[in-house]
Amino acid sequence: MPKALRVLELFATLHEHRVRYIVIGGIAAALHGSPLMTVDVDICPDTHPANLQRLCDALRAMNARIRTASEDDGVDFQCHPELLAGMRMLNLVTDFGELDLTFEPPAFENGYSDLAPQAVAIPVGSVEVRIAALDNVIESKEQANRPKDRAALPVLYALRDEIAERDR
Amino acid sequence: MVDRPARRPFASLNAGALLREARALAGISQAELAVRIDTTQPVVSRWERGIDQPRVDALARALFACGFSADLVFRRIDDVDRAQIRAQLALTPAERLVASEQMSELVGLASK
Repeated sequence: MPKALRVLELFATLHEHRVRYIVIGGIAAALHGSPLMTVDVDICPDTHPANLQRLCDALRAMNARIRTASEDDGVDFQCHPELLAGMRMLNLVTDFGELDLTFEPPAFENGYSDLAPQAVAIPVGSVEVRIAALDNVIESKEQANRPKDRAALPVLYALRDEIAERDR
Repeated sequence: MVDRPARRPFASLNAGALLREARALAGISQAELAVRIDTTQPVVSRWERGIDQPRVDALARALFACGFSADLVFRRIDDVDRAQIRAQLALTPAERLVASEQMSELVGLASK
């Protein structure tokens, strides 16, 4: 059974460790106003070695373990920057729920540096987080094109229309 | 680095703003754009200020002259519950997160 999400605490832990990242996926969509449900947090971290070290420190603080189908509590691993630098994606379970590190989101092969220019900083709770622009969330889901992405897209298109209408 | 105009819904398309953005990204003047599409600078100026609207083919030519092509994608209007979206938009980002957390908790309880 997936752990219940405690997103604010997860963000607070990343903030405490000064991790640079951009929120992507379902939580980014939810922060933009999507009513779709999501069970995990997806982030795209900056891959600068110093940032990966801070990310490892944050992951240790939230007891991150590698998520597997066979082990409910995940599998222990030794996080270090070199390990993360060689990865495209890492699925984790933490004290605050499931966390996916996505270094190369679909449509954004340079990851953080591709997303950063259009990312939006928003305050949530006591911290400020940077979330991918809604257009980028949509573009990534279009590119990924999995059944769950295709199911989400009509809602995200409608959300974009509603935001445009509201801001007109 | 922004290297192309942002994606936008056709229903809220502002041709003048789009053209201005594309021209700025191309780094060319209204006069230069006018030469490239065989018109005059005042015509380009009136388009960009929204005084006149370019025809769709003229807009496409102007964008091309700025180094861009644009796609128009048709999507079937579906039965998305827009009231639910508006309700979410009325919340603050932090409140939206709390709603996501609550939904996740419900799913967890349901799967027990």
